[in-house]
This record gives sequence, C-alpha cells and structure tokens, in this order.
Amino acid sequence: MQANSNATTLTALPYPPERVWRQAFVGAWLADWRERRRDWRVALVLALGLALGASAALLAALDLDRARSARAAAASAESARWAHQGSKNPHSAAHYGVYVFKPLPTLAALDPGVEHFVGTSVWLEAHKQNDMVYRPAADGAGADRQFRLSPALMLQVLAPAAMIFLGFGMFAAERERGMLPALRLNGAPLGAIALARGAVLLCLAFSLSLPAIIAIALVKWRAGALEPLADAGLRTLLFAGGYLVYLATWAALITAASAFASSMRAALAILVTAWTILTLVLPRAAVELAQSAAPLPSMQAFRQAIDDALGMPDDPAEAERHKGQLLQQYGVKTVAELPVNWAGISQLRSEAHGNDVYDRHYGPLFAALAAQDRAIALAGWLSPTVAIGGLSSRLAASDNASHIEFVQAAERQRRLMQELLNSDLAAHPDRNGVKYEAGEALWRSIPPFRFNYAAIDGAQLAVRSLLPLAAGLVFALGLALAALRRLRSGSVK
Amino acid sequence: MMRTLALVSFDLRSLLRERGTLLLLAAALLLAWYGLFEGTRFQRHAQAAQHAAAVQETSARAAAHELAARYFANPDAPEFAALLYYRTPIDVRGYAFREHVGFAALPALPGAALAIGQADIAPGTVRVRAESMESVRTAAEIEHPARLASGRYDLMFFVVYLWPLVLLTLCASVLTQDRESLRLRSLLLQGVGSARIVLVQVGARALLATILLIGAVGGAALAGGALAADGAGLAALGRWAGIVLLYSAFWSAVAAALCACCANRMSAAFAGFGLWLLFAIVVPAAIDAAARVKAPVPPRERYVQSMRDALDQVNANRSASLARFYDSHPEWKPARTAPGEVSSSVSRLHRAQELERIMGGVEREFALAEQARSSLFERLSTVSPVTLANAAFAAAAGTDHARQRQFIAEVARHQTALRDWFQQAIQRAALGDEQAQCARTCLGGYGFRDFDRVPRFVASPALAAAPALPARAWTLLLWAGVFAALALAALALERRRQRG
Repeated sequence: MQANSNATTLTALPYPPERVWRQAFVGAWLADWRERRRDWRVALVLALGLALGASAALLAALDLDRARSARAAAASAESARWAHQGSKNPHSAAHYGVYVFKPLPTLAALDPGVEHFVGTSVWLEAHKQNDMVYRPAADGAGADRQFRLSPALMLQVLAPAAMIFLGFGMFAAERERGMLPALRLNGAPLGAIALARGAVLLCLAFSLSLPAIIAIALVKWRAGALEPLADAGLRTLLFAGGYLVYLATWAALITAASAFASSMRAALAILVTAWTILTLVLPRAAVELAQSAAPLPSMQAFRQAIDDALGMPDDPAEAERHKGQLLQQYGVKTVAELPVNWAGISQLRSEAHGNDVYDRHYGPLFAALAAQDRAIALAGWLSPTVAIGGLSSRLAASDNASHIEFVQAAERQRRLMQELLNSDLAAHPDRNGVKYEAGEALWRSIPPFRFNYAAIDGAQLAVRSLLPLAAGLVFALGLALAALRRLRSGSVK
Repeated sequence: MMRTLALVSFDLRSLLRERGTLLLLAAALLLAWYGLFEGTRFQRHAQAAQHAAAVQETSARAAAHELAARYFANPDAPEFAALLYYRTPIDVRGYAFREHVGFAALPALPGAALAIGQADIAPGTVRVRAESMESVRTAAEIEHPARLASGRYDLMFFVVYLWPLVLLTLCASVLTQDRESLRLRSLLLQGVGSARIVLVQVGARALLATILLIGAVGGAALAGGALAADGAGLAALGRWAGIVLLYSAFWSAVAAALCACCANRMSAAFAGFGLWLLFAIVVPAAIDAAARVKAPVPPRERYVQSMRDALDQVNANRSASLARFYDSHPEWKPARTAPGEVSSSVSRLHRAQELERIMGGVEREFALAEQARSSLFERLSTVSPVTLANAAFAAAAGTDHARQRQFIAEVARHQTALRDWFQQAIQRAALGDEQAQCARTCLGGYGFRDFDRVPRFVASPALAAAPALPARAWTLLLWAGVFAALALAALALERRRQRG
C-alpha cells in the first residue's frame, strides 16, 4: 500500500564519481517523480492536502483582512473621537481615554500563534494600566480546542503526516520485496537516490503550502504599506527558510526510518510514533511543563496585590511637604493663589506612584512569562515542531513576546498621554473658581499611537529556534546517513 | 460460545506475549497518567484561586466592619484626616465603586480534573462589580497564551487523540495477520467465520485495553486525590468511564472495518493512520472552519466603538436622562438639587444603566451571532465523533461552554440585584445628605456600615449538580454501529468474491 515502491535501475558507468552521482540523482528523481505522478494515492493525498491548505489559507486571509479593516476603522474612529471630544478639563479627558488596537502583520495569517487567545484592544485611561480585552477565543463556538485550521497547522503537523504517507516505503518497499540486492548491484550511489527521493517528497510537501503562499501574496498586495514590522522582508525570508529546514528534517527522518526498518509496516510504525511524539505530545507537554519554570500568579492574587499596593495615590505626608514647598517657592499662602494648578501636580504625583506600582507587579509577571518562553524553547532541541512553532510565531509577531511588546508600548503611550495632560493641567491654575478647560489643540498635541514590532533579535532567535531547528536537521541527516550505510552493507532482510 | 472464548483467549495470550504490545500499553498508561497530572494541577490551581478569592472577600468585609466601627465611633480622629470618600468602604460611594469586594465562583464538579475543557479560557472565578458586567465579560485567568493556543495536554487530550492510535495499533493485526500468514483458511475450515474473528478479537482487545486504562486512570485519580473517594467522585469516574467506553467502541468499530477491508497489517496500519488523521484533525478543523464562515461573529472592535458611541450619547443626554430617572423614581428625587447638578458618584449607576440600555441592541446582536455559531457547531459536530467526545468529556467534567454560559447568566442576574441594591443605598444616602449635610462622611448621609446586607453570589443548585452522561455521547454508539456494519459488509463481499 505504499505510495512509493519504485526500483531505480541505473547501470554503473565509467564516468567520474560526480557525474555518476549527478546522473543517479537525476535518474532517481525522474523515476520517482514519474511513478508518483501515476500513483492515485499520491494524487489523493495531494488533493486532500491542497483542499485543506486552500481552505486554511482562504480562512486565514479572510480573517486577517476582516480583523485589519475592523481595527483600522476603530483606530481611526478613536483618533477622531479623541480630537473632537470638545473642551474639558484635561483630567476628564484622561479618564475619557482612548482605545488602541493591536496591529496584525501579514505573516500572522500564516501562523496566528497566540492571537486568538489574547486581547485585541486596550483602553488607555488615567490611573490604570488596563489589561487587553476581547479575546477572539471567547467568541469561539465549541469544545474543540486542538488543531484549529490554519496554514501553520498544515505546515507543522499535517505536511509531515502527508510526507510519511508518501515516503515511508521509500526504501522499506525495496527491502520488503527483495529488491534491495538489485538496488545495491546497480552501482548508483544510495546517497544520490535518497537525496532525489527526499527532494521529491519535499517538493510534494511544499506543494501543500502553495495555497498559503498565494493567499499571503494577495493579502500583502491588498494591505499595501500597512505592515507593522520594521523588518518584514527579513522575517519573510527566515519564515520560508525555517519551514524549508523543518520539512527537510522530516524528509531526512522519513528516509532514515524507511532505510532502517525491516519492513514497510515497521517503517510506518516508527514514523507514526515519531510524528505523534514530536508533533502532538512534545509541543503540548513543553508548554505544560514550562509552568514549573516560573509559576504565574492567579488573576485574583495579582489584582489584589496591585490594589493593596496602589492604596492611597501617594503618601499624604509627602504631598503636604510638597505643597508647603510650592507655597514657599511662590510666596503665597493658599493653593488657590498658586500660579500653577495643584490638582495637576497631584495627578502627576499620583500617576508616578501608580506607574511605580504597575512596574513592580507587571515587571515580574512579564519576566515569568518570558522565563516560560525560554523553557518552552528548550523543548525545540527535542522536537523540531516546537522549534519551528517558536520560530514561525516569533517571525509572524504572533507569539507571547510580541504581544508583551505591544502591551508595553501601549502602556508607554498611556503614560505619555497622562504626562502631557497632567503637565498641561499643572501649568493652568483654575481662575476665579472656574475650572481650567483645554481644547482640541491639546488633544491633538498628543502624538497618535503608532506601533511597529521591533526588529528581530538575531542572537535570541538563533539560540531559541534556529540552532535547535538546524540541529534537528543535522541529527536527522546523520540518522539518514547511518541508515543508508546499513542499507548498503547490512543484511538484505 | 466455547469456541468464541477459546478464540479470544488464544488471541489475547498471543498478543500479550509480544513485547511491543506491552510497551505500547505501558507508554499509553504513562501518557494518560501525565494527562491526569496536568488536569489535576490545573484544577488545584483554579481551586486555590477560588479559595483565595473567598478569603479576600471575607477579609475585606471584616476590615470594612472594623474600620466602620472605629470611624463612626470617632470620625474626627487624626487617622481619618486624609480619608477620601471615594477610597473608603465607610462611604457608600467609595464602597460601591471601589472598595466592595465580591466574587462569583463556579462550583467545581467532582470530575473537573478529568478534562480541562474550556475552563482555562473561561475563568471559574470572576469579580463582580456593582457598576457593570464589564469585569465579568472580560475576565481572564493569567495563563501563558501559548498554553491556550497549542491546546492543553490533559487526560481528555490523551483519550480523544492518542488513545485511538493505541487502539488502532492493537487491533491492526486482527484477521490481517491471519491473511498474511495464510492461517485464515485453516481457521475458516474449523468453522470460525471471519466476521466472528474480527468482531470478537477486536472487541476483546479494545475492551481489555480500555478496562486497563479506566482502571489505571481511575485508581490513580482516586489515590492522587484528583477524585474524592466518595459517591460523587465515583459517579464522576463512572461518567468518564462510560464516555471512554463509548469512544473506544467507536474506534474499535473503525479498527474492525479496517481489518475487514485490508489485506495485510501494513495496509491496515496505513489506512488506520489515515482515518485517524481524518477524524481527529481534518473533520473537526473543517467543522470549526465551516462554523466560522457560515456563522461569523461581528468583530469586537465594532463592539468597542458602539460602546464608546453609547457613552458619548449618555454623557450628552445626562440631564434629560437623569430627569427621566427621577420622574420614574420620585422617592429618590432630590428636593433642592436639579437632576443635571446631581454629583457624578450619585448618578454613576444610572449612567451605567443608560449605557447598558443603549448597548442593548449591540449586545443582542453579538449574543445572537454567538448563539448561531454555537448551534451550527453543535449541529455539525454530529458528523465528528472526536468533537462529540470532546464535548462529552467537557460536559461530564463541568468544564464545557454551556455550563460556563449558565454561570455567566447567573452572575448577570446577581450583578443586576447588586446594582439595584447599591442604587437604592446611594440614592437614599444622597437624599439624607441633602437633608442634613455634614462636612465629612456620616451616618444618615453617605456613611455606610451595612456590609453584611450587600447581596452575595450564590450559585444555583443546578450549577452545583453533577451532570448526567451527555445524551449526545450516545451518538458515538451510532457511529460505532455504522463502522461495524461496514466491517460486516466488507466481509460479506469478500465471501461472495471467494465463492464466485
């Protein structure tokens, strides 16, 4: 029942080894390709894979397009709302606040990463570092939490499965049918044959990603220059390269198992077991076990700690001292006589106190999440699926680190807003019992929130994802070479 | 009957003699135990958070009582000189909007550790604020998002996704090995029909393995404290075991059909893996995709914008809407203050109600869209045994979407009662303050010490009741019947071909 049971028959020729090798490679490639074209099972697997891939890509492209337009419309409406809120006290404007929305890069359509499970917008208001809200997952339909259809699922989980279907009989079929002696006798280098067959397998796997590539090109074309990435080109290149290495690792593993196994059934059993462990068990076990690396507090404990620490806006005694200093500095007796607005100064103090409290609490939380990221990445040395998952979501800016990057940028914007509004308030005391009111000029003086994900940290990416991925490929190639050596000189059984 | 028993006994003995079978079962049990461990860890964390919330609520109330006793005994004490009304529980405005600590907790069912289900997305403990449901609607537990995105590794994951692979592997050699070794003809000559071989051997292998799994997991759950060793715990284990048996029956029938159709073990293994991929990944993903396309939920960004528009509208119509409010509640109408001049802390709850009223249409639109998606998903899930199993395990553990929705509905009712209670308290306090103003918070005005009378959330008995075995789980038996019939049909065809 294997999809590939060809026997390549090449006659040993008195040519230089490179030429023999090249000819063997080309001959094996053509023979394999020809045979696969005729095999209905290959057509079935490819048709199913392409249909799924096309659905995944279409859905991803539509989702991204919809989310981007909704966020762009909402961001522009917020910007207009902020500018046209009318005359009011700057502190009222600070409480009115603005919502900011997380931008989505095009690559996030290919690998949505954590996007479905994190909030999409955050309200920037006075005194509070709000959490991001409205997770798309909260509007999800039902019980299925595993294997949400996306191009990343296709490439990380289903493409290797399709490769196993198409390639497990690569050499095992010849051994099982007693054609191994003939393969040895024909003089063609086994390495060339294995490379050719592996390359055909890789081409078939990549054909499954065609719909995703087309969809991404269309989304990119529609998006124009809206990409929120500083280094979109580099990320796209690394993204494609990463998946090439990942699928090549699987091609090498399949070659190794097929050359090593005594029968096709054994080859299939080895590969299905490896696939189950590497793509299903380890990625989930890694994220579960990472909890132990840096335990997270419960939301209740986290919020209680912040509320307790916020307590009073600032130390009342300190506030009194500061007030006394100001009165002395301006030579006046009461706050009302001050040429500055004491309310604004108090708000500045209050915000500084709040910022300090939030930093003290969110800092360790983000550090714990980052520690869990590092712990998860370690599993990339055991499973190429973990490594490519980390690489792909990092490059697509749909990972936890990118999310935190956005959260921190939004918080910086909130603080900037508060600083500008409170400074303006501090500079304008109330006159004759009438509260100071600012207008559109002040609202417009606050720079709009424009967020771009920072350029990729090459060293970190290399250590966490690229090296484990490359090590996986080297290991798989090593296994394939050892298995081919055994195929060449071991027992024909 | 004796012949069947002999067949089963011979088959099981030879199967257990294989080292591979034992290794496979050992690996399966280890993976199942690990899933149970993760489920238990999650559940303990959730329970600890729930307990901490209850402690916080109680101690906040006790601290408020203690502060009220000191303050109302001597309001002029120096320690209260810097008291801010909006930051203290002894002022009803400060208590209602900031200092009141009230949580609503979804009671955990005895089998909660057996399936995390939706519990990591929809938290079981939410803080309820008098002003609005916003804190409930956007509540989330702190989790690494990658854990949510990759899908949890728990017992449910093991049983739904990995256990079928174990069953298919265990059963792939039934009949196919006899065909390969040409032993089938001699068996048939002894009068043992191929249908009996397939059904009996597959059934026995799967049943034995499933009983082993249930025993090992059940024993570990009881011993490790994941399930209480009482009636409720055993009933939860019984429900879980029932679903495992139904689900195993489905995959056993699939294995029987494969063994009936395939000429050798390799083909059976190949086709088995293919069917597993189809049922475990492709069909559920397709259902999810269909639900997303056919029943889209409007983007939440639109919800945010509608809320902002509504808030602007409420602010713009403040005076008129407050006038209407006091017309409908003349008992709270201030004697000297015009509606537009009422302080923001007194009109704040009315403002929240107005916002809710204006947002009603949008809320309904989102709720209907979500409901449409859920019901479409539920209808479609009939064609996916894996989705049915997921839903059944989550429902039996009380970690499903429907129970969470019921919980939120109860919280919403409680929040309405809480808001109404505070509305009354604040309006009466405002009237009292208007009649006898005092410079600082005082009783008869905004002073507050009725902490024990503030409504508290109590889950309905329905939420705490153990669920029955979900009715839809029985659909798995129907699926098993379809594949068993397929197996019999394939064998009948084969017989006819051989005779022909």
